Amino acid sequence: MISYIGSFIILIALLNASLLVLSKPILSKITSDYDSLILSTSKLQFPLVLIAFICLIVAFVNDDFSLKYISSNSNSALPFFYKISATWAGHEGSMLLWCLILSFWTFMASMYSKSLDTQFRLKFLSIMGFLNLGFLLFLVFTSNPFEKNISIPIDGKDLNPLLQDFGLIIHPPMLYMGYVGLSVVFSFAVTCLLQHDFKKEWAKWIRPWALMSWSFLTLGIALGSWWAYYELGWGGWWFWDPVENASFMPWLITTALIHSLITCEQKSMFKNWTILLSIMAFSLSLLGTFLVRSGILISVHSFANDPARGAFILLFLTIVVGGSLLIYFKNSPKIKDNISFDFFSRESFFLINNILLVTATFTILLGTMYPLLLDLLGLEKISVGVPYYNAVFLPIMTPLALLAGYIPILFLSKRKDKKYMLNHLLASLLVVIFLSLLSIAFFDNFNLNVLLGVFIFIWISFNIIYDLINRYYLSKRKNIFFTNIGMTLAHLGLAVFILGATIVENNKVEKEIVVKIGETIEIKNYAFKFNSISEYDGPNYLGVKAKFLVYENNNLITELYPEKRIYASNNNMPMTEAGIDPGLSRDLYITLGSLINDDVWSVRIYHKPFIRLIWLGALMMVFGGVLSVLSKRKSKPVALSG
Amino acid sequence: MKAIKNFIYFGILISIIQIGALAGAKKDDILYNQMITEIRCMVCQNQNIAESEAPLAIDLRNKVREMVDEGKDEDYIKGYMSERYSDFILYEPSFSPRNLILWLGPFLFLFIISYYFFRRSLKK
Repeated sequence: MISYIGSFIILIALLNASLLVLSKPILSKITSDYDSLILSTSKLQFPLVLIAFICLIVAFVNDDFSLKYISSNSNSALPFFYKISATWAGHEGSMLLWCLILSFWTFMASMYSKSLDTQFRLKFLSIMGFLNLGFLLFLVFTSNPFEKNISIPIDGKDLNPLLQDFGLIIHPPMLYMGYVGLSVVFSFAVTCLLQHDFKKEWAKWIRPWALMSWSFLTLGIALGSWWAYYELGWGGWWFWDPVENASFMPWLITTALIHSLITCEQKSMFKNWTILLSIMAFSLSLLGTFLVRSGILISVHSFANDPARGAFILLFLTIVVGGSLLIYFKNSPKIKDNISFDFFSRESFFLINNILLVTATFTILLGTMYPLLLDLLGLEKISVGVPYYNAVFLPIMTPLALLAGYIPILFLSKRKDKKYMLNHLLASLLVVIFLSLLSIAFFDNFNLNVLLGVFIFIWISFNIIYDLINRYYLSKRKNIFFTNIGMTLAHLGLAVFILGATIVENNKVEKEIVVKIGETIEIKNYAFKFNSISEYDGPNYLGVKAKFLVYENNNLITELYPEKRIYASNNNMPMTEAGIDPGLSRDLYITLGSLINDDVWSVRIYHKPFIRLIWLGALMMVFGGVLSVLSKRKSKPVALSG
Repeated sequence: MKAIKNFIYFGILISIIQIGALAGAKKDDILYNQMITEIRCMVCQNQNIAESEAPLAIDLRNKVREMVDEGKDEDYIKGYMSERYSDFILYEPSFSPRNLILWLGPFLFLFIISYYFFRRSLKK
């Protein structure tokens, strides 16, 4: 019953979205009161899709296996919370989540756009409506979660065991909040093109939306990385997997966007470039969806795929991206954009920031698409993985990280005094080099890469904090501290992330070893004693649990319980649950390999120094982004940010 | 003219960093760990043989271990693998004409886009 309500409501939402799209071009010719229709339909979309979404959740909780989607993604023995999260674990449900979030952003855009010109606002919301319509059509025609089974199975197939996990409950919603938040930025940019203008106030209005999307993207990507680390069982945190790349590309472009918007707002420069970035950011989100959902990628993420879906998304992608680019090339020359500056200026360095970020994005796009292109041309298949990105991506990102620490110095003085700036640069460089060399003492395995990582960490944090203190004392307005704290925190997050990533990648210790019960393995100053192993019954699986006693300098510090689980639903393929002892300075990580005989197992043990800094850094970026949005709302006068 | 000069400095900066990144010396013991992360498990979905527990991955790990113990170098091991399983097995695409765009594309892109923007917008 409840599923019929869901189906029905989706159709109503489809009608509502059509009304939103059509009222401007059609109704405006008949009645003058079409604007209230646009405003109400853009708000109504969210409650409608929300009801449909709740219907699906209820159907999941009630084990309504008459629905195809539920019978293939749930099971009566599945724990309650996973039944709820299963709602968005498969393809159909995750598309409904996508529609829900899109309608949410449309609702927010409708609520908080009163300050925009009426004509602008109406066009803007209509474009949001168009995106809503497109995705709802996709949902109804290729991925309907309310589709019925022909015959009702007694029980469901169960949720993919990899997805029965807390990290996976929150990873997709956060990532989608980011992906879809970019639709606001996109619609806004296209509206600017249609209006032949991009005013300073508009740049100021859109920046919080870009920042919010960026923060959600950051959080979503970090959660995905954290999940892969503890769940997939080989202790990695980033794999350059095509689907990770698909989320990283919009992130990089949005990072460029939030920087270029500053120049746009303060100097009225790079208007067209900013519009292009906005279009690219959302287009890359769509491309990511296309790559994941069409199944043209070989990837651990291809849980669900179907060529018909790929064809639909490709069509939608062509209309949205092709259409917006067409409008861009036609209308952007009409937007006045006088770009002119000195090489030693803020604008110049923001431009370098943008150039590097876009090049980095291009690199990832090339690395992701190149094997597909070769395959398409009938040439031999190749793999593009970690070594390629280390060789190409890192050299592009390193100057960017250096720049992140340099820009604050550049603006210490209001005077455009090159000599003063160079002296200052030199002084801080010396301090940072000294501190970096000092840090050698704390590492037992030191190489050039680690030195570079440590240098960048100290370089950014030193300059950013110095800049913050300096601004505080120089500025007459004491709220400057608050307006800049977000930016400061985000950049510190970048520094912390770089530190963690370089150290763990260069100094991690990995051991794959065959071990008998009672034996002890030593790594660094840790000893791991394989104490015992036992079997147990989980709610929907059979488990084997090993017990390891962990000693640090001969003192027992913790016990770790790595597991193997066999889910009947998963063709009896064993799943690995790692035993992890987390710590700020190192993680200890054990996974069970395979049973060799009676009480002998192959085991992997990892010592991962400072790996937590990776996610700590990402969280700092997230909070930095959110703080920037909040402080923008509080401080009315144009803030000196950057 | 000044812009071009600044670009050259910028280019030099990038090269120095890249050389720095490549300079990390490879010890023999590290070779095994490096190789197993750069070889793809052919029966898995985008996993290297260090990560995978598939029988093929275990076999290949043993083979790599064997070759490293025999004192074979990186090129030999990679050649051995790609000869038997095609280039698809290597996560590092070869620097061949076929992959030229892949390797040089990003730097070409960087050059073109920088040239375009700075030429247009620097004060004369």
